[in-house]
Amino acid sequence: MVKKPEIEGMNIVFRGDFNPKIFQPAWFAAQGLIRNEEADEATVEIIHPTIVVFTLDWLQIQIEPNRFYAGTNQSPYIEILKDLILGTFRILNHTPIKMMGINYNSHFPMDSEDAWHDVGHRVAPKDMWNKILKKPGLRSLTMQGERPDDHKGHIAVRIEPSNRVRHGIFININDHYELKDPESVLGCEAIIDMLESEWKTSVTRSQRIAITILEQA
Amino acid sequence: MKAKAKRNRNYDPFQYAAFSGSAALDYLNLRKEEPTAPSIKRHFFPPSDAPDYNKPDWASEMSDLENTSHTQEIPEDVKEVTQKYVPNIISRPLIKNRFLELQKWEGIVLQISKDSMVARLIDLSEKESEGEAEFALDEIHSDDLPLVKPGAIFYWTIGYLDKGGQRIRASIIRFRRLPRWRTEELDAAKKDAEYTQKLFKGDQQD
Repeated sequence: MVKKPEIEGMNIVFRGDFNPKIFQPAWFAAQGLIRNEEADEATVEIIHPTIVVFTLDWLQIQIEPNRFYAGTNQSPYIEILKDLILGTFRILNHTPIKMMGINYNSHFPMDSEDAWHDVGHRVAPKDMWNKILKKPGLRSLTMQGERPDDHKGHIAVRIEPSNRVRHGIFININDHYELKDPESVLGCEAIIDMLESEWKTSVTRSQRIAITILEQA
Repeated sequence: MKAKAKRNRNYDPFQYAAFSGSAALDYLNLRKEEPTAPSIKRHFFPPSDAPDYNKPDWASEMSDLENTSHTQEIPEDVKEVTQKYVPNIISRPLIKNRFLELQKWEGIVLQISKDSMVARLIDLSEKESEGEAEFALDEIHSDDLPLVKPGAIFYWTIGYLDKGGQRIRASIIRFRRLPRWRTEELDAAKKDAEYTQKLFKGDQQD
């Protein structure tokens, strides 16, 4: 029986052309996308033409000229995160966005140290490595597969020992989408529509992948 | 024991062959003959058109969500800015709280009275069962009260919040926030409605 993750979150990453300085807590509050109190209490790490980074209690935002990142590590806010992104780019609908990652992160506790080692041995058997390294251990493994739907992109799964949970397993799933004809992109409507329509499927699929890995390992 | 291992190996999507087969050894230059299974090699080397954010990048390193175990590549211009203004920004987790979720529902407001609201709840766990519940408006954050209207959607989660070394039993209610209608959007909708109304009127006159 796989235990519930101790830490579970999502992040959404876009690739496109962004103006980082737009994305400040006060702007999100003015648009009604976050609470006024949250904007007042936001921790602003940096606001600069090339990068903006700030956090709320549940949200981390980071924008660079070619990359937009928003993530949460608290499961109650997973849906709120998605709504925030949809709202943001329904307003900034002329922002050209060509690629999207809907990324799932989870730290699962294992029953014991042995069970924890077992997962590492199962996903990366040491038969070959024992001949190459002394006491080899899994540090990180990424496996990439084709999408199960008609979208362009891929799904990549990364497994590592957790650095946040003792004897825990960290699983990251990168559900990557690309536009079929990125050169013709004028705004972000296509990607945002994709986010809205694929979100639930993506979250459910990622959670199932993580559980399946731990059940089989 | 052997049978069990074999069964698992057949079922496991992470086929051992990709790592223990000849493709892996070939990649490490430990064996010179050609890989016996070309299809394995395709899986071993990423496709050439793999997007650049599939590679580890420095933003993941900044995220508390991630595992902070990689040596990340930091774009030079961004590195210069962060090193100048925020020297320790990359190394520390930025969201410190943890929430251990016990159950989660999506709610739709049905009725509102002076002190409370009645909502239909959909269990967001795999059971997806439905029910109704009444919430005191005191449980809603003051910034969210203007959003409490019939038809409004909210998310209700119960669980444990780990904050500042304390574990607190928590109930979180968050209302869905979507962008406000802009004047030009309202004007466009009004024009559409007027046009449709004219069409119907025209039909009646015919």
